Amino acid sequence: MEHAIELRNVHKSFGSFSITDLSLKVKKGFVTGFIGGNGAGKSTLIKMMMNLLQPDSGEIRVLGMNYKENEKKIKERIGFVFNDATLYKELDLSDMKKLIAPCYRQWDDRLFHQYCDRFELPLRNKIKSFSDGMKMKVSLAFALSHHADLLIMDEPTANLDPIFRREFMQLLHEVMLNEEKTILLSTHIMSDLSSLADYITFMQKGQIVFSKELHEIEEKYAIVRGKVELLDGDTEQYFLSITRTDSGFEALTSDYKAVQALFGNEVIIEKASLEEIMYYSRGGKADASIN
Amino acid sequence: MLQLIKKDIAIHKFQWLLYLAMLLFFMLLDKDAIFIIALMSAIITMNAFFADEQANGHKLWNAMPFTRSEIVSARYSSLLVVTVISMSTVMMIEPILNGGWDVLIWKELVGGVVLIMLSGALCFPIFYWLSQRSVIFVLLILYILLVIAGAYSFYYLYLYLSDTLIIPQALSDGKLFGFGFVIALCLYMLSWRLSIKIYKNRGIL
Repeated sequence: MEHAIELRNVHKSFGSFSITDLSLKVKKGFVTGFIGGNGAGKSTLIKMMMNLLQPDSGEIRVLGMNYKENEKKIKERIGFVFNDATLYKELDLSDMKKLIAPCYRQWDDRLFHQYCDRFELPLRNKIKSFSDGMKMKVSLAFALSHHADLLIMDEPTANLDPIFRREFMQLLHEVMLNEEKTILLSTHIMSDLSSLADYITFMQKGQIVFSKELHEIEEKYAIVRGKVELLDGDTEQYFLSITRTDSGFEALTSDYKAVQALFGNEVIIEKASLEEIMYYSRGGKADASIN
Repeated sequence: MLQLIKKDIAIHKFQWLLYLAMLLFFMLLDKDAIFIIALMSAIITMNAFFADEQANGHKLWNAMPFTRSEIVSARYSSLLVVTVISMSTVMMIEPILNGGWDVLIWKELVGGVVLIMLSGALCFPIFYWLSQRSVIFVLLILYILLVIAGAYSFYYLYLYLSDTLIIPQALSDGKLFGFGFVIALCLYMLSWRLSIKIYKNRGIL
């Protein structure tokens, strides 16, 4: 089994939003960062991967199995962290653990207490006295304490302070020392991914814009600035999106070398960050078609 | 699934003391056992629904190794467990307060079970249909009011049936309550299946 998650021709629609004919493979043993603006469909897709939402059509396989036949087996091997806390506020952490721990066959109590110590989580305080960041730490401790093969995290760092966000990323690095583990992490904070992710999947309006290796993105994507006169029907094909101003144009390309060869020193070319790729890709093309 | 039933019992924690105090209060007020059993079971179950809604419980338990059928079945089972706990507590306290059991208390116990099954059968599918929406909190209150109204309706219906000539001749109390129990059980089972169907088709937001 090469892929931890496989989606084939998945359709899902509600109201005006729809995901159409979406196919995606999340490689086993790697960290895949899931990026996209608000309403891009990241959470919907994650919920389908966890069987919280069912697709209208298409196939979803997780850890080589489908939910229809192996729902419990799959969920046994998934650790999850959602952006909103899923905790009973009137209980203390120790009570909460007593509810969750027996549900997993591979629950490791020693590991859970290690994480509680590390995150400085008080076992005897009620959850309602915890800050948002602490609740996220609790979710993370639960997700990591049953030796899950697949960690699915939906914007886990959104409510964390910068210090714990770093610790969190460090922790995920440690988790990934085990080569069997896979992490799928959706986030708005691109800096989280640059140090951690192996693959980046970019979603927009219910579609996958691209799903590529991070180093490939870093090598190939660039922001190009130059005079508007350089643009014509032929040269525009090298760009995914173009913004024209009075002083010139700014464009995003996914073919750094081709643009450099084409324009030479007539333009300024800078490597694009993930944030810039997201920004410039709004309404742009998924791929530049170069004839 | 057993773990989910345990969860439904455990999430109340110290509130069990409050439930016991309420039960004692109603018993001291000399309320009918049918009223006390049905009301206490409904309050405890409503609180479990409420806690799950507040804690994003649908998301939590559906992301864990449980099927939707198990999640629904656990709630239907835990209502019965809670009813048995309420019945047992009433049975234990009754002799202390009144010096012994009324020979007719069995009617009230069966009546309580029938009432809680009928109200659960009616309301649970609606709760699963409207879960994760804010209107659910209003419906949970209505559920309690329905049980209270049901307890009184049950009482007056029994008086009416007893006063008519046909029913007492045709059916003994045993048969009447047995018949009521079987009907309530059948409706409860049907509702159980319906809730599973509704919940399986629901997206968890």
